[in-house]
Amino acid sequence: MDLQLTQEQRRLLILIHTYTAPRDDGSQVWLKDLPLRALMYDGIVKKVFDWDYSPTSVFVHGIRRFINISQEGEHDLIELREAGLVDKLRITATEHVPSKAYRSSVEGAAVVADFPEEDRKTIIDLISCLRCESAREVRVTSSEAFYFCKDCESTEHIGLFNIEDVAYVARPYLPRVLGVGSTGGES
Amino acid sequence: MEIIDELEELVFLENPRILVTEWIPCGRNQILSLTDGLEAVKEVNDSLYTTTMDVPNRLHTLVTGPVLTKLQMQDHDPASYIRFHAKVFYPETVHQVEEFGVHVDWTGRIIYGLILEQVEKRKKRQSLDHMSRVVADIVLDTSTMIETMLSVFQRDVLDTVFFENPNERNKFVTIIAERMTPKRKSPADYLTERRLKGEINQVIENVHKAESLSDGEAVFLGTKGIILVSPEPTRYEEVLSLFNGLQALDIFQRNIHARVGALWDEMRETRRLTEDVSELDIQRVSEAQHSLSQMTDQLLAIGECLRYMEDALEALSSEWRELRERRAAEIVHPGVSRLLSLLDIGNTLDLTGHRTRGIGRTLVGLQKEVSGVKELASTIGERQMRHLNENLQENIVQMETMSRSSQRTSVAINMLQLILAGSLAFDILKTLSGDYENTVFSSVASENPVAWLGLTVLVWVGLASIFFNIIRPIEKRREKGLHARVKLNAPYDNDALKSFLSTREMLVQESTWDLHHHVFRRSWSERGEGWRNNEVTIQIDYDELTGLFRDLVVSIPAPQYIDENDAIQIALLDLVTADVLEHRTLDAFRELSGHE
Repeated sequence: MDLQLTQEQRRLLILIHTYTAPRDDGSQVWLKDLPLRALMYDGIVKKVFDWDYSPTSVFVHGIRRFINISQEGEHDLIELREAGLVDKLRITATEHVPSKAYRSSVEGAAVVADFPEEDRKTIIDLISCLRCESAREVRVTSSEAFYFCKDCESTEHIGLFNIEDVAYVARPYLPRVLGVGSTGGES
Repeated sequence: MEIIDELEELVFLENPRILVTEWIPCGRNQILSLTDGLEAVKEVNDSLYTTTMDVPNRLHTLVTGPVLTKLQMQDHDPASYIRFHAKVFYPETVHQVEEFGVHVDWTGRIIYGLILEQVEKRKKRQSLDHMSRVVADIVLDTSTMIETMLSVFQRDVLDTVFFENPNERNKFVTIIAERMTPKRKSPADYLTERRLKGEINQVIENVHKAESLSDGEAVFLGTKGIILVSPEPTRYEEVLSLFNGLQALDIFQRNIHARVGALWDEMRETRRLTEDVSELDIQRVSEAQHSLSQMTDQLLAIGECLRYMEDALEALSSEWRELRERRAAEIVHPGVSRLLSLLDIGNTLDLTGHRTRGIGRTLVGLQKEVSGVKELASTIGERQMRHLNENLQENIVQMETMSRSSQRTSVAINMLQLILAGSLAFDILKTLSGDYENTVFSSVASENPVAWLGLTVLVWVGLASIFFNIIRPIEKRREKGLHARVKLNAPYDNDALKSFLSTREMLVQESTWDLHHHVFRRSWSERGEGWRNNEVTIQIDYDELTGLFRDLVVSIPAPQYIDENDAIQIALLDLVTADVLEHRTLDAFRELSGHE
């Protein structure tokens, strides 16, 4: 397979693969949509991914929230899926809004082995516990996201919900609206 | 919080204007009440707004937080629309001067519009990176601003549809700019360059169409917004207002659909719980009935919304007809004509109408399901009541039997006391007479046996009387526990009560719900000098829904130096001191009980 993956795409695939490598007992593991987004955001902040992010309104556990999402990251994820390196699962969530989950495909798992060691190390550093160096879980509630280390029970905040303010000056604008009140009645 | 990432700004818009549109069920009466509320017809037509709630009390002044919104009326047509300028002063971590125009009309369309003059001290050319953050800020701040102007019905609807978190509800975003840079030959070229497409997606998400309108004019359509580039944007305003209204309606409809889906899930869970409920579990049936009542309320609100949506669709269709007629008469600019064909408004109107009817049908099904489960819960409730009555009757019979048995035991014990007194009397006299060896007593006994017998009986009666007189006060004292109860039905401060209760260790915590009441029962113990060293148990009932403090019960098992009125008065004083009850409640009690 002739694959021309960018550094960001390679690292994203490693990230997904690290969490979703098949288990010995044959059970399949998937990385949920929101934790993946939290990891992508944290990766941008920690210079692992050279993407931008912006506030976007999404459903978080059934509630509309603004979170920081990278459109370039989304694009790279789509490209990995188009290349058949990442599988996507759509699941019905208990929060009434369908959610998604991802894992590295068989092809994806095969190509990860050939990626440069530096990319692998960067991702391992991102997800490793600062205290005990174990691989950490990512947990996302309806209002916060954080790494959780099962071994030493330490946590690290991820600013997925921190919407940044910009200074701006605006003056009012009222567009013309056609036919208001021309017809219709009272409900 | 300021930007922590180094932004790679690639796409810029010149002199951008932002329109954020949402749909909230409205109507002509609501517009009329809004016009009255904003005093649109008065000479001085600006007002300040705050989120602080005014609560009825005796104070002649009102203390608020900072004033957050200033509104200035621009135009209105009673019962049709209202247009005003709003300047907001919400606390932010950076300097923002937010002043936007607001258009609200009876169809439920609300358009917030602003011209972006400066972002991060940069004028004229603004990057999409910055604008995505400005848009998020506007979407949030407009929710806060409009909240003070909504009716109770509208707020209930928003709470229902947006899962009790309406502040972050999504709205449709339109950005109008005079120019877009870097320039490309065709708008479609922006979508072939990955980084540029990513920038555009940041604001309008999943851009799927990029087309030219006329020379130097382009439009980008995304799933959550639209970007229009035109040096003469005003000619597109009417089309955009119609399209934005329709898209806002679509967003609301999608959220309603998600809510109805969630209600089906809740319904299924409630049915399962109701079917599995044990006949002895009265609390569970009460919870199911409470949940069903809430669902009925939510379904009614959604049903009402659908009717408002139908009216809105009719009004938007009328706007669409007018635009089509103008287009047919060729009195619109070619760019406008092109935009109309790209936006596919006619089909979207039809589709939205179909979906509204579809949700209506789902709602009818859900309402039937709620009625079915309600009947099931009520049947189980009745069965539980029957069981309860049977158990109660059994208990009454058992208690009667126990009471009779206890009475028999009491008579037997009294008889035993009598016999014991006789036996003791005989023993005493026998000891005194030395078993008839004492010459004085034996001679009296032998010479006057009747007198001796009389003396014996007299001693017996005396001793029995002493026994009864000793035991009766002890029994009386045991029966004398003080139990004072007063029905207050007085207003109370729920926050103060919660804080008061948090300092006590609860013995009993119960609650009962129905449609109109949410009654809590709490009980705790107290002791101390305030209670004259008595061990006291206090029980209170209060209703959070009606805001009334219902009952106060004070129990003292072994009261000392305290009567019923004292007990109630001490308990009331504690609650008044903690600001739970008003002082007039205590005054009223004192007046009625004759205490000062």
